[in-house]
Amino acid sequence: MARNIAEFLPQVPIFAGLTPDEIHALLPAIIEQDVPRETVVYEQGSVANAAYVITLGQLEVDLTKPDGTTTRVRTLGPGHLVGELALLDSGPRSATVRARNPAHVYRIDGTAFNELRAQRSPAAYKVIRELVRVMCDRFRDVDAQIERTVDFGDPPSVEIEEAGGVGNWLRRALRFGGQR
Amino acid sequence: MNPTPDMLSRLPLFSGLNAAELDMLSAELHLREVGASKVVCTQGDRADSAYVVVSGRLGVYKESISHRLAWLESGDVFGHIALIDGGVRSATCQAEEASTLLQITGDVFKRLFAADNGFAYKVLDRVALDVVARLREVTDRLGKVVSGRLNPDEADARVAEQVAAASLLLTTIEFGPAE
Repeated sequence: MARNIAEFLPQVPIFAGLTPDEIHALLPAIIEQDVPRETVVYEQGSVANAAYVITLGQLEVDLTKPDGTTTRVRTLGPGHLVGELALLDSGPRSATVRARNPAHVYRIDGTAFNELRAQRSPAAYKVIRELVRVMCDRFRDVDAQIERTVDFGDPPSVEIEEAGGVGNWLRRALRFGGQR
Repeated sequence: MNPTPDMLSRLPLFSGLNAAELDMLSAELHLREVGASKVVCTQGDRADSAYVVVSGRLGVYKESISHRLAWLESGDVFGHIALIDGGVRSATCQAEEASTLLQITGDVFKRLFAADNGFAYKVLDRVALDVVARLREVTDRLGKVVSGRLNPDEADARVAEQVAAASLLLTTIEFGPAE
């Protein structure tokens, strides 16, 4: 197993910069898992405690809205990482992920990863650095999407003022606000 | 002028650093006094520094928006995201009153962000927290839009479009851009 992981992980972008020794250092946090068809990997709203690298098969990402309707937002295949925010914090899962067909994943345990972080493992910090970069890139993508898709005009009525200001309100949270 | 270690220890970005680390950092960083209405960074420019607001207040402006987007106040960090991803300034920041800023040059920031030692890891932990806090806040807000808790008038097509856009943004943040 260790050898396969060492070969596979560097193909996943956030692990691409890790040396074989650093990949080896992460192994205590990683286990292989078969995910039978239709099995739920994690449920929307549950506490995040692991990230998953897909090696075989496909995982479907479903988002359920408060009105009960569910939308399939992504189907992810081999080489994709899912649930990676669990490595940065343990907030609730934002969607449900389940196997579309028999799948195989590497599960990166959040607790074990945090232990490596507490031990100041350079491998864990390389991963964190890459995750921070990825998030910053996504902020920029989202900022560009807001520019294209959200109306920034002064809201024409009090009723939709809050909704009308959505673009600015989001941007404030994204990039310009503090931690308050 | 260099900031005092005591001043640095009160900034969230540097909390958790020990006395020796704060001493080292204080020699590397500079305080910058900016007068009211002075522009600190300009949308579209290449990023050369990150800043922490020590005192005073700055306004954030976008070219596409006629009014002020946000305030930056004591303890707020700005300008670091463009240093991390190598992009250009996404907004203009202008002092609204005489303010004191802690300037972290790109060179120092990159060294802190990229170094493999306990000191740099502490700063990276704080930067990661900052990024996650922004992410959580924006996803919470998007969640409210998507869930209809803003109670937009459903007959208003513009609002419906915004909700659809917000839903798309939420997915992009969590799962990356669609392929």
